[in-house]
Amino acid sequence: MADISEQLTKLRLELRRGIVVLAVLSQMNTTRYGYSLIQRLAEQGLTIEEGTLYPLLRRLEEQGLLESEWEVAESRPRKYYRISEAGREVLDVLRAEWLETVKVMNSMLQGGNHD
Amino acid sequence: MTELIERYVHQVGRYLPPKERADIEAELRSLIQDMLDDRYPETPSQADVASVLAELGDPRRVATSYHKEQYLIGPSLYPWMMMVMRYGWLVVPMVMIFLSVFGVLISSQPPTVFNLLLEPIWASLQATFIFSAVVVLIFALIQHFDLEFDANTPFNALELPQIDDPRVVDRFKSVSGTALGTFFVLVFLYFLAVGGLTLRFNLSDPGDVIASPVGWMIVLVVAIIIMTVINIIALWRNTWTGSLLLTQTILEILGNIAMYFSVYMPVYQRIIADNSALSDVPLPEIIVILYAVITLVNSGIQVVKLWNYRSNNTAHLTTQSI
Repeated sequence: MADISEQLTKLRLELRRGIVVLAVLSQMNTTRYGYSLIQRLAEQGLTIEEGTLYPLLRRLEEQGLLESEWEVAESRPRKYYRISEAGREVLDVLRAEWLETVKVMNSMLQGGNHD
Repeated sequence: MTELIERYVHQVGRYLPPKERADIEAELRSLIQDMLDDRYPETPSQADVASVLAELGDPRRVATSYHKEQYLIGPSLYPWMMMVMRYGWLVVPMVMIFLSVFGVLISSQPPTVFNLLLEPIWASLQATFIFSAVVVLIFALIQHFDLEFDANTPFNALELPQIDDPRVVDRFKSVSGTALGTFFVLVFLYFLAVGGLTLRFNLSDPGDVIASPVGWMIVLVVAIIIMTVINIIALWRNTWTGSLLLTQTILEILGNIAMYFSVYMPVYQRIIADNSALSDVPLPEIIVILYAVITLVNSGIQVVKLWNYRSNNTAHLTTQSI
């Protein structure tokens, strides 16, 4: 039999993949740079590694959901991201779907499986 | 301190996509500074920097996380490739062994065990390797340019063939039959042009030619051409009919007989001339009869299936319509 903890790692990763995108999009109404976003998410209880977040930000930008700009006036140059118009539309749809999914899943997971 | 950071960033950069390298490197530098500021408000030591870098992880892994998922041959294409591969792995070594044994036997030097055993094995290994490489290359190109198979024919469940439907055309059999047929036609047209069998494909200098009856060679070429056309028709319509299958079978037998007179016999006589040890074995007759039996059994089974299927199905249809 396959190692349970190995399976768990994989399943957890699959489960988190979509959630992280949603979490990031939801926090990008204000302009943020990567590390400030990590802290912001951590404050609210979602830890995400640098190695996951930074590539994700670039990917979302490539997909047109985020916009970015280098800020060079400060003590050190930083790349700032914010949500784009398209990103906002996507977020609205995903938010509605998420809330619906949570409702369904809650009733499934808490209600047990006895008919 | 910054020197260690630069070394790290440089290592990551080596594995990044060139277009984005500068931008990702700059962002990475600013991330490392942010992490250091956050964790070590006073001036961080070399060890502090090292621990932050360790947290980020192996430079190569950091770099790969910036790459998109890329495939040489993706999971949706892989089964198709393996289908072609398995077919080739079966056919290519057999064809090569046949060709190189043939080559050794008709060469002017007397065959040795080494020639007869090792050359065919080596030739088929080589050919199989080249075949596999070409197939991978073609599929990698299909993957790269994102070509799709059968994308324009929408799937209709009601048109699914019956599990035991004998009319269904085996695409790989027909495609390879067409390809092989074309190949043999070309080879025999060449034999006709130079007046006999040879393995040296050079019109102005065909080398040592084994004489072969022209009439039978023409019969063979015509039979192969008609069989190839039938294969293409079957492929085009995607069903076999009884008459097509019957014609195909008759042509195969005819081709087999033509092979006997135009290839097996002349080659056999040449071998005997060089090697009398084989003279007791009626090799050409064995090959012809074996091939004819295999053909008859194969097509016979299919014709019978086709017949049963048709009579069963018309019965089905009548009951259904009632």
